[in-house]
Amino acid sequence: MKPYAEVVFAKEGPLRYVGHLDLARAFTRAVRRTGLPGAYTEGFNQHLRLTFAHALPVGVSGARELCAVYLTERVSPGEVARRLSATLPAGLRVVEVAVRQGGKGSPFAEVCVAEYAARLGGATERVAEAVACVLGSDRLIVQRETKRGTRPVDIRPHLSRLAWDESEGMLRMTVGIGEQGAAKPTEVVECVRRELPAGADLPLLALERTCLRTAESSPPGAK
Amino acid sequence: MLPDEVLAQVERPARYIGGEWNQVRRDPGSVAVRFALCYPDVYEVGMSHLGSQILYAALNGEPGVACERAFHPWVDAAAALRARGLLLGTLESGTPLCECDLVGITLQYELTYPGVLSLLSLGGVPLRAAERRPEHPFVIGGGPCAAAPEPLAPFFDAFVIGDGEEAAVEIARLASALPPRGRRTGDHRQGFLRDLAQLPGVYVPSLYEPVLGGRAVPRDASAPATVMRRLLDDLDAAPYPVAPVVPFCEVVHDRAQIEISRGCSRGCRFCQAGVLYRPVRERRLETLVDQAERIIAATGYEQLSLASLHCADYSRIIELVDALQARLEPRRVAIALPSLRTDAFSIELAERVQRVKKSGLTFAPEAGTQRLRDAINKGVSEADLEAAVRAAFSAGWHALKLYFMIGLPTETDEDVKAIAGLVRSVVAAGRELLGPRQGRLRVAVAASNFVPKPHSVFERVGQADEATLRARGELLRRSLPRRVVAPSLSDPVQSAIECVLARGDRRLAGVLEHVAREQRGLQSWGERFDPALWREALAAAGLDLGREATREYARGDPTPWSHISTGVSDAFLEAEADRAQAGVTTPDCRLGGCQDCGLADRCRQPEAQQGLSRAVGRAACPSAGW
Repeated sequence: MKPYAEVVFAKEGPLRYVGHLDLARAFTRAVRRTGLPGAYTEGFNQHLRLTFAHALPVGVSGARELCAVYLTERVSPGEVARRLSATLPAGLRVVEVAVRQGGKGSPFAEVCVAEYAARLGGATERVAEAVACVLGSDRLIVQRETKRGTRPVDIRPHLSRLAWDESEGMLRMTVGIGEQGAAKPTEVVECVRRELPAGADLPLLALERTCLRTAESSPPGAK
Repeated sequence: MLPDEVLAQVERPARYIGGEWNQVRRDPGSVAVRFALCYPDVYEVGMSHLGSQILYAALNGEPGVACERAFHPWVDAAAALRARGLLLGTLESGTPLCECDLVGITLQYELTYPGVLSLLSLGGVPLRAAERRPEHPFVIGGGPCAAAPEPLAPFFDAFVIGDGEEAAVEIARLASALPPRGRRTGDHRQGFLRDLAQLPGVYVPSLYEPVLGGRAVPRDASAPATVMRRLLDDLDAAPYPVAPVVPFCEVVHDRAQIEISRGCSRGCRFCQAGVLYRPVRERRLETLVDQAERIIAATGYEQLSLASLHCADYSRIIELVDALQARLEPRRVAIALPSLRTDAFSIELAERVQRVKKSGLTFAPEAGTQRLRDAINKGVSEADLEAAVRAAFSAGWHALKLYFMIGLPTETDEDVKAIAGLVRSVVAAGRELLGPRQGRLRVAVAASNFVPKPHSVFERVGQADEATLRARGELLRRSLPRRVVAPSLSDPVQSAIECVLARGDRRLAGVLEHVAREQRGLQSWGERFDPALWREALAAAGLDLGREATREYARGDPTPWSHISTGVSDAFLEAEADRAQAGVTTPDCRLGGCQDCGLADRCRQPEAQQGLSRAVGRAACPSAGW
C-alpha cells in the first residue's frame, strides 16, 4: 500500500468559484510542479492519484478541506507542505499536512460530518428565535431536487447543531454529509427563514465550510 | 474579475476570476503603460490561443508595462454587466478597458468581428476611433484578419500586420512616452497615431482615405502608401511564453505548446496562412527542447503540443520528437502532433508519440479528384492517402476523420461525387486491415465551404453561390456510403458572411454596428449565429449578401486590401491563379527550389530537411523501412 499525504487546505476568495473538477485539475498540476514523487494510476489514461473528501459546491469557501495525494515513497509532512505551498495558486492554501500509510478504499470514507458558517444579512434580529424553533422541530421537511424530480426530505436527523452568533451575524451548523444522509446548509438556512414573519428578508451573504470530520472524532489532520 | 453579485449567478464563474497560476500582476502605480490584451470570444477559446500567450509574455517582459487580459463574457455575464451598469475589466485587476492606455484585440476569425464591438462597448470604449477623446485608450488590432482590415477600420486606431511580438512591444514603448491619460490632448493623440504609422507593419486607418471597393490612399504624408507586413526573421531570438498562464477551467486546448515553426511552404492555393506567414521559419531543436522542459516545469501540464502549420515538415522532426520523449516521458507528459499531413511518414510520426492511446486521426485531402487537388495545389495523391490510411489502420487506429472543401474554384459535381469514392476506399481498407476489429471502424467526413481569403492565390475569385453550395453538400450527403455517418457540413449562409467580412470594405463597419447593437456579439457560436440579423444589417447598408460573396475582383483592379502587402508579389499570385485554372501544380519551394514568390531576400531555408525528404522518399516507395 502506498503512502499518502493528507493535505488540509483552505479554498478561499475568488477560488470558491472554481468547481470540483477544476479544483482537482489545479491540484494535480500544482503537485506536478512540486516534483514530489506522486503515484500514478495504471492503464491507458495514467493520472496522478488524488482523492478529495467531499466536493465543495461552487461559490462556497472551505477552511479545512481534505485532499489525499498518493506518493511512491514517504516524504516528510513538512517537505510536502513547503513544496505544495510554493506551487498552489493564491486562494488555495496549505493548512497542515500529515503523511499516512494508505489502506483499502478512500482515506476519507469515514468523513460524514461537515460544519458550516453562514453569514446572514437583513432581518437578523429575529434569527435567535427562529433557530430555537428549528431546533425544537421534530421534522424539517425541505424540497430537494433529484434526478427523478423534486421530492420532500426530512433533514432534521442530519442537523446535529445549530447556533446563532449574533455579534458576528453568523449561523453555525453541524450537518451530515455523504451517503448516510445529508442536510445542505442552504436547506438549513431556508428552514430558519420559514420561521420568520412573512416578508422578512434574510439573505445568505457568504457560506464557508469550516471543517470536515468523522462522526465522533475531532477533524482529521488536527493534532 | 467580475463582482461577486455577478459571479454568483453566471455559468462557469471560474472563467471570470483571473488569479490563475503564472498570471502576471503588476502594481498599476509602478507602470507607465497599461495594455489590455483582449480576445473577442469567450475565455475558453481565447486562453487556447498561443499568439495571445506569446504577446502576454512579450509585453509583460517589458519594464514599465502591465499587460492584462480580457475576454468576451458569455451571454449571461454580458447581460448581468449591462443590467448593473458595470464595465468589463481585465482579469488581473478589474481595470475597465476604457481606463487602459492600449487595448489590443486579436482578429482570428471574421465572425468574431461583432464580438470586437461588443467587447469595446462592454469595456466603456467608444466604438469608432473618431469618437475617442484624448483620455481614451488606443485600440490596436492584430492577427491574420488584420491583413484585410477595412471592415473594422473605423473601430481601430491601428492594426499590426504580420508577426506581432516585436511590434506590440514597440507600440507599448511609444505609449510610455505619452503623458498620463488625464493630461493628454488631441494633439498627443494625433502625434501618437503618426508615430505608430512609422513603425514597420503598422497601419493607421485614420491616416488613409478609404476608396469603396478599392485600396485606401494615404491622406497624410507620414503614412506609407503600402503597409508591408511585419516579419520576424529569427524565431529563436523572439520571446516565448515558457511560463504560460494555466487556466482553472477546462479550455479548448488545455495543454502546453511549443511553436516549432511558423509558416508553410506547401503552397496550397486556398490557404491564407500559407501566404501570411511566409517564409517558413523554424526554431532550433535545442531551443525547443529547453522551452518544452521549462514550460512543463512551470505549468505541470500533462500534454505538450507541437504547434506549427505542419509538424512533419519540421526539418529535424524525428530527432525533436525523440528528444522530447526522452526528457518528458519520465515526467508523464504526452506529446501531441495536432497538424499532420496525409502521408505514411506522418502516421509513423504519430505512432511514435501515441504508443498507447489511439483515439482518432484526421486527414485533409480537401478535394475528391486528382484534377481538383492539382488545381488547389494540395500536394496529396490518392496513393499518399491510401498509404496514410493503411498505415493508420495497421498501426491500430480505427477512427478516421476526412476533411474536404466544397465550392472550390473549378469544382464540378464530378469532383464532389469523387469524394464518396475516396471515402469508400478508406472504408474498404479499414474493413480489410481491422479484420475482426472492424466493428470499431469509424469514418467521419467533414466538408466546409470554400471561402476565398485575401492574400491567398484565390483572393479574387467569387464564392460559389448559396444554391450551389447547398446542392453540392446535398450531393455529397447522398453519395456517401451508408456505413459512414452523415457528413458534417458548414452552413452556406455563415460561409457567405465570412467571405463578405473577409474581403469587404468600410461599408461593412455599419453592418457590424447593426449586428452588435442587437447585443449578439457572439456570432462565432453556431447556436448564437443569426442569419436573419445579418441579412437585415446588410440590407440596411444597401448590400446584398449573395452579390457581395460571389463578387469576383478582376485582375489588375484594386481590392480593399491592396494597400496591405504580405511581401508575396502580385505577379506570383497571378501566375499561381493561372496554374490553378490550368490544373498545373507548383512544387513546395523547400523541395522544388525557389518559386520566386517575392520574399526570396527574407528566406533562409534550413539545410537539413529530414521530415520533407523522407516524406518524399516514402511517397515514392511506400513499403520501404526507415
